[in-house]
Amino acid sequence: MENTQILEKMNSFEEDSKWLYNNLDLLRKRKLSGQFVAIKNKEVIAQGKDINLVIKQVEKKGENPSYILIEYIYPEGTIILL
Amino acid sequence: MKIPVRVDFFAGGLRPILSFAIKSEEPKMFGFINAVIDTGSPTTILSLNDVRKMRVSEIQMQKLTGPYKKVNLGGAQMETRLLPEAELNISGKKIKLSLIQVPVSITKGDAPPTILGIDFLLAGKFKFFFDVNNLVSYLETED
Repeated sequence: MENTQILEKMNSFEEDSKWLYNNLDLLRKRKLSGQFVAIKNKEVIAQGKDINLVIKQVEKKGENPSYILIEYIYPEGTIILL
Repeated sequence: MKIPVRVDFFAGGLRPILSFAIKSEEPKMFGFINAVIDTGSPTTILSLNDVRKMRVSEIQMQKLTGPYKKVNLGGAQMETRLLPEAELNISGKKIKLSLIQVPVSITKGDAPPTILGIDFLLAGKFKFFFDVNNLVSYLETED
């Protein structure tokens, strides 16, 4: 893939990331807490408790999971100390 | 050159989060990742979830090098091996990063996020700015 194509897809990935972190409460209200979600163009395209199943759902939609934002929605109050 | 870093609320607090593309030839790996920049970590470590997302096959995983190493991170315990070399593309700036830790199994807890450690800052010759009060963060290079 050309560098410009990578940057285009990367921009889209970053926009989806911004959207996800700004809408965590909304996603929790949709009962997605404790689940993996796949986001494309600011929409949830797959969800589930098992990331492998979410990856398969993304593939079924004709998308390459490597380019798609797949994140775990931590339940409210979860603190991860790194 | 300044590369913006997002300041997002992630798992209990505000963190500096950077999106980048990672590419490796041995093992073959390519994908987009969100990572927490953690100056408390000497090394970069991928999340097992990101490794799964990139669909790295078992055969490719055998191309990781070094001994199996036990690592505790974010309440999880895992075994890692090393990715000899990868290219990270950050907003068009490419850097080579050696010896990234890659989890091969989680023995306790859930997979923590991908962490960019001090090795990443050294490899890119980055200065790292993080103003959590004003939600401003960026990497700065002399390029």
